[in-house]
Order: sequence, then C-alpha cells, then structure tokens
Amino acid sequence: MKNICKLSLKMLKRNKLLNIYIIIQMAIVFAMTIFMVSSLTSRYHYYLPFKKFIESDGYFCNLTSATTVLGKYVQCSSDISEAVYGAEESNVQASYRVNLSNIHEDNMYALFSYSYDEEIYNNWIPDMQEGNWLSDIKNSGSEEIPVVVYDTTHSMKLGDVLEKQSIDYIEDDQGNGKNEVKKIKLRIDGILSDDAEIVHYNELEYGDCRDIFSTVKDITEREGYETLYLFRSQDIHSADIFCMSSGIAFINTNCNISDELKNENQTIIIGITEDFMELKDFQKNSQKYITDEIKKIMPIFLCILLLTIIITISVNAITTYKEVTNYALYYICGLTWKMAMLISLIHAAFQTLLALFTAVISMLVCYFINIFSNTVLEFHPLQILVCLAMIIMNMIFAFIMPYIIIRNSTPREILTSN
Amino acid sequence: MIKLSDIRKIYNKGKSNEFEALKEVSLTINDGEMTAVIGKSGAGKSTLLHILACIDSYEDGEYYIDDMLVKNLSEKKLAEIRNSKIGMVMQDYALVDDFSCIENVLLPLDFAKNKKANKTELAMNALKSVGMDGMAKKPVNKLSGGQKQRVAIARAVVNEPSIILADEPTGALDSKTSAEIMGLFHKLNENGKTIIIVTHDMEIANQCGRIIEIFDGKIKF
Repeated sequence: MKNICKLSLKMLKRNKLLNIYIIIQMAIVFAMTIFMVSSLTSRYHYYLPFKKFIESDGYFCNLTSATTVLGKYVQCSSDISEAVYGAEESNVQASYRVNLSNIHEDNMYALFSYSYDEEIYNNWIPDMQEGNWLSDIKNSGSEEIPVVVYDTTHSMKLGDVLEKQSIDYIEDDQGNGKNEVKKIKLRIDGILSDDAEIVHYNELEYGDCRDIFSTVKDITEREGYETLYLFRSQDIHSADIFCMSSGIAFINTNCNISDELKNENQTIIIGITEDFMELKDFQKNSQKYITDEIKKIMPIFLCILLLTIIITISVNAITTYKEVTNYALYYICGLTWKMAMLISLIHAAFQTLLALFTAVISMLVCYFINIFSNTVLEFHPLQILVCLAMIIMNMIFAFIMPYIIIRNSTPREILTSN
Repeated sequence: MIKLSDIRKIYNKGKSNEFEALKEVSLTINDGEMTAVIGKSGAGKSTLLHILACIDSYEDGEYYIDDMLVKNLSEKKLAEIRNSKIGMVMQDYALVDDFSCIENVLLPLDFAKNKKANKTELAMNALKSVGMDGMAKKPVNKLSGGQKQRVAIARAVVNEPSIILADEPTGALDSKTSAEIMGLFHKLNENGKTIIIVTHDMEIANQCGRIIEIFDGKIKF
C-alpha cells in the first residue's frame, strides 16, 4: 500500500503542469459549487430560523406598544397565551419595548431598547462586531443586566457598565399615582456590527419571512436613535423592569382546535392588532418567495452541475489516457489491474483534496479582501456535504475510468498501441 | 521448465475479423536454455512471448511454468509470477519515461509479495550488472537506446527471475549496441537463466542454443 501511495504521489509530481492545470480547473469548479450552494441556501436564510413557528397554525403579528389583551398591557408571552385558544405560553414568542431611560441634566430620554423571548434570540444570531449575542450570555448572578448594543457613535466598549433608569408608574392606597425611578446597571456583553440584521418588525411589506428582519443601521436611522439596546426577556422580568409588547409576535395555536374556536381566535387577534397574518398564508408567501428565487438561479445551478460532471469525466479520462501505458508497465512488473486502478484512485484523491484546499483558501482570501462583498459565501454542513459528493464522484470516475479503458484491452495491446 | 501444449490464440473471436494467431502450439523449454523464436511479421512469435509472460490469455491448450498450470491461476497469483519468475524486456524498452533508472529498476521490488529490506542496494547491483550504476539517478528519457535497454534488462533481472523473455530486444539498436546487449543475455544465460528471445534477425537467433521458427501460427519443424 505504501508503494501504491508512493507511485500515486510520483504521478502528481511527474505531470506537474497537467496536474496544476487540473487542480486549478477543479478548484474553480469547487468554488463555483460552494458559491452556488451558498446562494441556494441563502434563499432559506430568513425562513429556517423560525421554520417551526412559520409552519405551525396561528398568527404572525405586529404588536404595538399600546397593545392590550384582557384589559392589560402585554408584558410577556403568557399574557397572550391566556387570551388565545389553543396557544401555550411556549408557543407565543414576541419582542418587547423595554421602559428604560437616561436622565441627563434633569431631562429624561427614553432608550431605544427591546427584549426578546427565548426562542427568538436563540434562533437568530446576528453579526457581532465583538462580544456575545444574547443566546451566548452566561448568567453570572451579578446585579448588572447583560445587554447587546448597536452604537452608531462607536463610543461604547465591551464590558462597559452603564447606569440607566427604569420608571414605573405606581398608585398608592388612595389611588394617587406617581413615577418611581429605579437605577438599573447594564453590562455590555456584545456589540452588533453595522450590517447586522435583527428580528425587528417594520411593516408587512412582503407578507413573507423577509418581514421578520431589519438591519440595525436602518432601524436606528429610521427611528432617530444613536444606540439600540437588546435584552433577554427573562432578565427584564427578573429585574422587574416594565416592558410592553412591541414588534413581532408569533402566536402558534394547537392545530386540533375547532373552526369555531379558530374564528374566535381571529376575533381576539383582530382586537389585539390589525397588523397580522395567518401563519399558513405567511408560510405560503415565504415558500413562493424562496421558490421564485431558486427558479431564478436554477439554470446557472444546472449549468454548474453539468460542468462539474463534464470536468470530472474529462479530467479522469485525460489522466488515465496519460497513465495507462505506465499501468501496463506496472502490470508487466507484477502489479494487478486492481492495484493500478487504486493508484489512479489515490492520485485522484490527492488531486481533489489539493483542489478543494486551493478553492477554500482562494475563496477565504477573496472574502477577507472584500472581493465578494456582494456575494453570498457560507461554509455550512451542506456545502461540505456537496464538496464531499463531488470528491466521491471524482473518486468513482478515477476508479472506473481505467477500468473502462483497459476492460477490453490486454497490457500487451496497450503497450503495442502506445 | 516451460511447457506449452496445444495452445490456441484467437484475436477478435466471434467477430468478422477473427484471426487465429497461434494454432495448437506445443513446446517445452528446459531450465537454462537460450532460445530464439523467429518468424515473419504476424507469424505469432510476439503473441507466443506475451502468453509466456502471462500478459495475454489464450483460448485452448495448457501452459505450465514449473509444473504450475497457468490457466487456473488467479489474477493475484499471475501477478506474483510476472513479478518473481519472469523478467520482460521489450523492443521499445517499456520504461517509465519520467522515472530515473533506479526508480524503474525498483518497480518489481516494490511490487514483490515478499518485501526486501535492501531494495536500493539490490537495484544498484542490478544496474551495476548492466554497467548503468553510474547513471542511476538520471531520468531514462535522457538516455540513449542502448542505455535504456540496459536499464530494461536490469529491471528484468532485479528480482532474480528464472526466465527472461525478450521481444526484439535489439530491434531498435545499432549493431555495436546490439552485440553489447546480446553479451548481457549470454552472461545471464551462463548464470543459469532461461532466455527466450523473439527476433527476426538471424544473426541474433544464431547466437542462441536453440531456434524455434513460427510460421502462420504454427511451430515449423
């Protein structure tokens, strides 16, 4: 086996120019395939994180800060689940506006701050400039509330502790109301990058999964804030800070509820917000958007697939035709055809791995020097799986091709014909 | 000992261009013999040599090497015979062009079932025996025809096979070099090797102890 590997390596060294040409050709095919698969999977980018919610029965809503259910403001998911038939607390996931302020020279400024229910911050991790996203924050038990910020002034630093105020309106026994100011310490655990997309409702622009997200830059510009603060709902509740539902809410209901209850739910939801969609329509629109997008790139995808197959076959045919005489010589010297095919297989494996390595390195270099700033490039298990399929296809051809060529010839015929 | 009995070889069997290259060929070659196989082009002499080298098949008959019936052997066993019992020298040298002399000579040692520890030393000895040890590291595509044939002979003998088969070994060489190459074959024969040389050159054939003539696929007596 060692000698077989040695001969395969010699094959690589021997035909340097041809091998370099083949490796570059295969690297280009690998790169095109990775880009293509990235492009295809990116179409699901906005759909997959909340697939579980989108594909269930229920409603996709935009809740305003003034939303009330059963006469009180919505402060947590159970406030909604209690009102909607067939909805459990864990099946309602929403975002909330957090009532935090900054008091400066006796003036009070509301902070632009939101909190997310667990499944929302766990299922979508935005691009971070530094630090941790909400899902990666460990509970330290300190009194400081962890926060992820987007700061347009770029003056905040990771680990900074900020002192803000929470204002509660409380009534005494006589019914006299007053504002109670509470000091709150926030610890910056993460800073979002400029192009980060977060779960943030703008309007039902498309009626599909794209409506779930907005970029932090757009949000802060639109709302006129310098800084955006994002929290975990449980931290806000633990610190007893007032919050109100604001923005996105997925309300999943049990699919077995009767039509009558479904109609009642519809009435309840209309009472909560006018800005909502049934999830089955939301899903239908999302699927249509994804299918339309995929249809647009499908011809290119098929061309690349065809090109990959043609290149794999031609590369192996060229290599085998070039090497078949040597295989016959090895045969005369005491090698079996099977072992000759193994040489071809190992040689192909070296070639393919070198090509893959070249492709990945080149793509990473181009990515980091920003050549592909407008192109989707992702390394996910699917891309690795597709590359693996290409490697296997190449190996199969590398094994079969010598067999096809030598199947009907004896070594004598190969030697005499060459 | 080599023994052939009623060997028939048919090319393109069942096709319109079917051709019987060997017709019931029977012959015995004893150990240590130096035999020339002669005949016109297309007579079947190379076909016979390739069957003897276990690199071509045959339709009928029986072929024994040292009392071993070749037809019944597995692909692996045949490879072992080609590696350990037979050394092959071809008219066009059949060397891997981009390999150096020593790399070519090392090939049979690399493929041997019983691995030898001192492979490089054995390869160098084989090259020395043909006077090519000084060019061991030179790529064979930089050598002259005569030098290439010497390397081919070194490769054929490196595993110390008992039989050396040569297909027109001097066909591409000038007379002086041919004489040198034949000298090497004589030396090998003196050392006990069985030598079978296919040639159409009577001068070469006459240097062998026995001449077998093939005519239209049959041995001419």
